Amino acid sequence: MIGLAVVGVLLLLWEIAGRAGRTGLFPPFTDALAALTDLLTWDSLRTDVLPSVGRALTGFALAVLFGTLIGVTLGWFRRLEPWIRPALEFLRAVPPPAVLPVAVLTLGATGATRIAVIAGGAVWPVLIAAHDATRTVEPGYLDVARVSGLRPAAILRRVVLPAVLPALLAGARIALGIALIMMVISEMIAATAGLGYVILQSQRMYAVDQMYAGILLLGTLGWLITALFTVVERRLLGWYRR
Amino acid sequence: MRGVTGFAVLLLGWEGLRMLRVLPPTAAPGVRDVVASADAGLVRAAGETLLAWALGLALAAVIGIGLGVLVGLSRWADDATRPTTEFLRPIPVVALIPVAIVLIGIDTRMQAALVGLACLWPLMISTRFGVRDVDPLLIESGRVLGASGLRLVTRVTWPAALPAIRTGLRTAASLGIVVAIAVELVAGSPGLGHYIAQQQAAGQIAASYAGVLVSGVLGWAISATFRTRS
Amino acid sequence: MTLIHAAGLRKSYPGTPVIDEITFGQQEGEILGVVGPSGCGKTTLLRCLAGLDRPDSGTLDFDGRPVTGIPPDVSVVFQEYNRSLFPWLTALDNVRFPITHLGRAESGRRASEMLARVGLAEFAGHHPRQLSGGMQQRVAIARAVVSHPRYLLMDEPFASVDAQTRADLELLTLTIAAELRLTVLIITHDIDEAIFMADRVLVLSARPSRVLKELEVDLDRPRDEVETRALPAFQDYRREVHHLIHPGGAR
Repeated sequence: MIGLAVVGVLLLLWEIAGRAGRTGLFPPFTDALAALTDLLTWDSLRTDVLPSVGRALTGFALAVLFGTLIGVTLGWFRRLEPWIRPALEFLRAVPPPAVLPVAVLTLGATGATRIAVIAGGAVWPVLIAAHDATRTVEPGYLDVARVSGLRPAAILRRVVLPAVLPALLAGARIALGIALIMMVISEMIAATAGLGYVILQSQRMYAVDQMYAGILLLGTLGWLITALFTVVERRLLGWYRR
Repeated sequence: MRGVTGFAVLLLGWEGLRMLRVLPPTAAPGVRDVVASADAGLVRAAGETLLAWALGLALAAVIGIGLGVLVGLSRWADDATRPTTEFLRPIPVVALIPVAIVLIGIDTRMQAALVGLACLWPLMISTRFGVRDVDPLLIESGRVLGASGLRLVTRVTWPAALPAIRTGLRTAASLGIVVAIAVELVAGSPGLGHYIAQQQAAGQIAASYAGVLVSGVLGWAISATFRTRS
Repeated sequence: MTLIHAAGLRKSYPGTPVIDEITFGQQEGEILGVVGPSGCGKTTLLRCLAGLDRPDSGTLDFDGRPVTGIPPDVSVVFQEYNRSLFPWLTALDNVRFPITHLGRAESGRRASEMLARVGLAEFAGHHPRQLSGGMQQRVAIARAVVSHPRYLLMDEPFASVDAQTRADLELLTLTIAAELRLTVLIITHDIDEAIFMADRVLVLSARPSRVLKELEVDLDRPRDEVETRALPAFQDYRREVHHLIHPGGAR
């Protein structure tokens, strides 16, 4: 309750500061809100907002899929670890935005490139988490599975995957944050549409209301997606917390 | 030694893909060209990125850990700030680049501010968790031994929360370098991101790859530093 | 009829010989206790018998055929239930785990029946973390026998539960073994437990282990926690084994 009151007070302060200031750089909250309704028209949703969200989610899904596949596979062959680990650590440490210009150059400024960059940046936390967790799956679980007569494929599906799930989801949560960052950045470079583009372009054209509206919308979307992730996580990990 | 072999395979794979024309040789330069293109500008750019990162992280450490201790100790402060932080946190900081340009400009201060904002959340959340998670038995023991108020916090709560704070610092440090380079890329603030974009625009492909490589080394050095310290 | 026969088993891990030479046989339906000082390679022996590890040399036959992989009729109860029960599965699904190939209905029916046998019918929907240590080990026992194996290997199965629970689980195991006509090999460091449960006790030396003695346990069945342990013969067996394991040591 008090928390919501604080939010109200902060918004009120924003409003007052916006009305008092004459620089035009900091519009009142209500102006930003009014501009938000423009962003929520069907046209703008179709050309900017939904494609952005779609790319972020597609990239994130690809990152989780490939991160899991590669990470679990590499972790399954434990002897590979000393050979590949340093290279993996380096690749993970490359800040994903640094790759963006060369990716655009090599692959072209297309939607697919942006999805690839989002996935390429977000894949590492998942991959590393899957690799670590698979390497260290409780050996007792594997013994039980072997004595029960399971074949390696069944052991992977019925024992390894559930065992690494908590670590995998922790990695995916970090990946989600990176996916959102990469979504915005990828739309600020060599782009003509998307939420990131709208925000940057608004600033360049001094449409400050619209810039803030874009950020508000992005924050709301980020909040929604994170909340959705938490719901999925709770469902999958019911056994883990109890 | 075996790790080096892993790197060698990676580089050979790159060269192989170029030779087979899977990677277009025009857009994907050879390893030797990339290494040869390193110059003083690249080193300067790396220094600028590092500076913005360090300033931002320091800023976030002071504010984030302070706030984290506050909301960790006081339920009231926690309740009061929670909805605000819950909304602010999922906003990708890079979305605020245009705002920061408008309000601050495009220099290192602006970069530091955004890096600081991005790093604020992991630091604040893990500090709050660490403070809250201190074993009540430790607090009780501290009380019994006569510590109270500030003494209790500095002598018992703080050391007990330190491992969690270190974890937050590690996350923040890695995130910080990502944000620093993103800001340079979009806003043109001095640093590696700007360097990479500029070289690419000028057709110096090998040099822009060298920039990517150096940012990787930087990111790797940062995560290695913060891992061994904790 | 001999179910399992091991001759001249040897096994070492890099740098340390673990099993020096072990030879023994086990009749169908027999309960064999294996005791020895801790760290003497009992677990390694069990892993070889289960087909989880390969002995370096020696022969190992199960039901007249050499053991090459994991024999389908062999099942294991591992030492630490918290490392062998799957935390993401309910008690029922844990028990169902080895027999899911029978289909949902049939495997569910058999698993429920086995859970009821170990006295956990009402806890079918609970996850391992919601169960006490003793209950978790009951689930592990139910899971090990749900496929009606012929040979049950138990590795210090009751080492991490309290004394009362331990006595209950010993009796439960004997009852189930009799009902399902199982051949059981139980590894333990508890001399009393080995004598109480087994028809024959194999006493192993410290690492690298050899068989110090094979001891026939001639005590009537069904055995009773109080009466059997109070018999003079029980005391004699226990004294004999104790002196083998701790030669010259005071009791």
